[in-house]
Amino acid sequence: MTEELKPLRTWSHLVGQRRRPSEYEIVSVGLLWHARGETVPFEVEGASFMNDWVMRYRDNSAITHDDWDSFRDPDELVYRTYNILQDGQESYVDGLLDQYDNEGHDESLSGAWLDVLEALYTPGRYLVHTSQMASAYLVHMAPASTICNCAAFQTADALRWVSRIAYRTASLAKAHPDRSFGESERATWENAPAWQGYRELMERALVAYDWAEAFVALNLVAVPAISEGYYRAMALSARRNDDTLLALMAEAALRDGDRARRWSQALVGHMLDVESNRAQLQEWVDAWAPYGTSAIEAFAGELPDVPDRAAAGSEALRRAHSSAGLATSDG
Amino acid sequence: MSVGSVGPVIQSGEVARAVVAAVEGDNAGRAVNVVDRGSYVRIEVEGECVITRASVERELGRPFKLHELEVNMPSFAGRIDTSTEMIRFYRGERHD
Amino acid sequence: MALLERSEWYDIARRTEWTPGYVSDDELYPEGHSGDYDIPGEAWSTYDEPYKISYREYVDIQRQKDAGAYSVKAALERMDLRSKVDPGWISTLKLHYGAVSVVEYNAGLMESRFVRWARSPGMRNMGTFGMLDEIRHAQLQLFFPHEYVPTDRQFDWAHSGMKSNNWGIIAGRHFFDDMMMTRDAVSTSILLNFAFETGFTNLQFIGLSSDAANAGDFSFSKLIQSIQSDEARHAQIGTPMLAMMIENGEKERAQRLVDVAFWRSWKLFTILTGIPMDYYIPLDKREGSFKEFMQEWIVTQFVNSLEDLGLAKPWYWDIFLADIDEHHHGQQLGTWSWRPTLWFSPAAGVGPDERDWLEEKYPGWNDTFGKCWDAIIENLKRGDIGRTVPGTLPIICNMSNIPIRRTTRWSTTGGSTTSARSPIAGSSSRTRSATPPTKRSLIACSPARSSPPTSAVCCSTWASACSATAVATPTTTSGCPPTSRVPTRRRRTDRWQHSHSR
Ligand SMILES: [Fe+2]
Ligand SMILES: [Fe+2]
Repeated sequence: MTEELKPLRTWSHLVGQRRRPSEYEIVSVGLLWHARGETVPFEVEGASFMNDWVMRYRDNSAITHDDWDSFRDPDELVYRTYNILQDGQESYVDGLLDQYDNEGHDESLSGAWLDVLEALYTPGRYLVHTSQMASAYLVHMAPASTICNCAAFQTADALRWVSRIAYRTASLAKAHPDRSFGESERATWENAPAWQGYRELMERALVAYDWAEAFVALNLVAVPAISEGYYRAMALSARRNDDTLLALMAEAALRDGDRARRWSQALVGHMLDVESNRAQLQEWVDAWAPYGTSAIEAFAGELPDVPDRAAAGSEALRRAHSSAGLATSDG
Repeated sequence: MSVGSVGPVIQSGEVARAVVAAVEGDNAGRAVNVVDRGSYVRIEVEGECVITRASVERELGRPFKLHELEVNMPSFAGRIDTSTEMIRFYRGERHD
Repeated sequence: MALLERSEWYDIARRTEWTPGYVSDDELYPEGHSGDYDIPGEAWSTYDEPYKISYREYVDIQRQKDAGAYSVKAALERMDLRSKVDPGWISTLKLHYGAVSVVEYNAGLMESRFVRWARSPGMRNMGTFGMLDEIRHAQLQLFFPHEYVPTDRQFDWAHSGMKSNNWGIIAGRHFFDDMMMTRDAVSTSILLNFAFETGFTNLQFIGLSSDAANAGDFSFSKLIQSIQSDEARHAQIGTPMLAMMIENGEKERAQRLVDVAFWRSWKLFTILTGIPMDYYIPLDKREGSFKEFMQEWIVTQFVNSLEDLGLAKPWYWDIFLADIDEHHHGQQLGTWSWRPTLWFSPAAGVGPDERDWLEEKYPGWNDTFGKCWDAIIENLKRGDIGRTVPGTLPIICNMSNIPIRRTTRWSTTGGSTTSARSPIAGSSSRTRSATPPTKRSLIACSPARSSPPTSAVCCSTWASACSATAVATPTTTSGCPPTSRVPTRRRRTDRWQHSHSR
């Protein structure tokens, strides 16, 4: 009535692999039951909203691969190591905040620089929050759990910086109650010209429903554009205006951005296993990159003392595409 | 557990003992009932249950951040209200 | 340290709502994802998550939790737990991991939908932590059983089970696809976070931890409590949403969601928790009966919070209360009888002492379920194993996807409550099938009788392998109260696929 089966040294789906599976592989690979190749993803009526959505924007994406589950995060992060990593990083940021607070940092900032912080730094929580939302879309729409995980940690990284920006906003409001810290950010985000490039990019990326296009818009354009403009250009400008605290915090954020770049490049590489994917990826990069370039230019153009950053940021975006194995948008 | 009572469920151990003592101190005047279920204890207070950081620290004899309670609290009865100095479990007041 | 308290900046971090200018509101928050509830725009930002945590606190606390859980495992790895514990406990572990580990992962995907589609920024932030929590639960509950795979193939189901078409897995998958994966973010937070997580998950993750510790499996005991400490936090995602729905005239729909999720969860947990607690766990290790844990966690704690929020007990409450005494006993008879279809080896758990315990905890057990076991035991004593394995298939509930069962005793005492009323039919565009009227035709619990011609599912291998007809499971053709959507691929021939024994 029952067959006798030999024990296995690991999960049945990993036994073919020669190497002993790592903790990462044991806990991360092949976890989506709704991407197991059935006619509809979910065990509910075929005509349901969610079945339609997932079939249309995930299973019938223009980007195809016959083994999405073979994608691996180059950092091989698991939940346990993510927390160890980020707890350390957060302790570092706590240390910075404590030290600069003791030195009366916020009170020492110049009026001109406080204007910049109000206009260009604290409204950034809206920007980073949109990347939190957009990253979360990839979590439930990617076709393999190893991709979902990368997107999930990226989502959490975004919340990390939304929180730190909020923290700094409260700090600045406390030190400068006569200013509009904590009050004016939404209006600035919605109306100030410096932000409209980012806002347009993010809003459009949020409604790019095809999961692979959403990945291109977010990870190949928006996340690098946020890194280059909001963090890197800001860090340089801050340092030149005696706001070392902000410079160090922005550079800490760039570390998270570097991790995003690593898995994004790995995923593009995975997609390019299938040569026919190249043209579609290129088409999307060409379509989205101009939004990224405009966003960086509109934003960095208004930062003081960094006249070359707008051009340098756009150049960095182009480099990101070529190092991912794609042609640069306007070359 | 009884109807109307609220409070945390804590994994048995050092923190559970400290929280039971803290609850008894923080909720003077209310009956505190402790149900031991082996791997966890259920702490029940009628209507409202307050736990302050100061009391837990006193009972533990070491610094304690209230959000660390989460490590040992798999469930709770009632609604919860969390702040840095106090956690409160309560019944909803329909007209607040 | 001169750092700000969380409360000084927390509200700023959740003020992130903006008006889209380059895309439409409908594109940003489509109804199918964000819900069609009649809640005005400004109200969404009043969502106030009661159980607050910051990212900084989160990574600190969770690192501590993992350090605890993994260190217990490392310490226990050196002793060969498996050779020392009762086989009934091992079966409990296999059932648990096969039904839970991968589900946890997909609960993370559910949480990520809140981050993208919820209109309340506070919910989007809490969803981010919830998403991480569920990834944790999946990874822990894959890492732990993986250690057992080299000595016991059945543990492979912790990873592969959820992709199979085993009947129990189909039932679970349909439950989770329906409650967790395919509804809009608002509805899902009531179905899953409120009803399922603040209610039923406590039975398995806290109730069972006492039994685990008694059985000597401290690693599992700590593990599931540690997991539940995350649940206690993110389960609260649904509570403010429920309050918001009630305040904005959506109480009726909220109640209906609770009614649906509660019934479906109950059925699922009779098998997941009810059977192990009352049959698999060695008698001297049982902290309490399933019914007692139900009384503590559901009938008292969950119902208190339900009523505190202004909702009522589900309309089928009497049926449910009667069911607590009986349902899982029937499922135990069924799963044990159809044991070749399971991915674990079920314990019968009906020795003389166990039967005394069952009679004490469930008065009347001997006269009903006990009689069925008498017949099975008789057959076993005669060496007639074939007669203990049914040759036909049970009638499967069209919604819960598990065998339908009921005793005559129950049907007379609980008869007045078998109304055909549905809490759902015709009220929502999202739920399409109405409740089939409940029938009263009952098959008496008679060991001499074979089960009636059963559901459309059939497996030729199975039928030819078992020609015996002694079936003791009390089955009826009654339907289940709250209906929901039906699964798509119910009529598969490989549904009753055989499990692999060692
Ligand atoms: Fe979970
Ligand atoms: Fe959960």
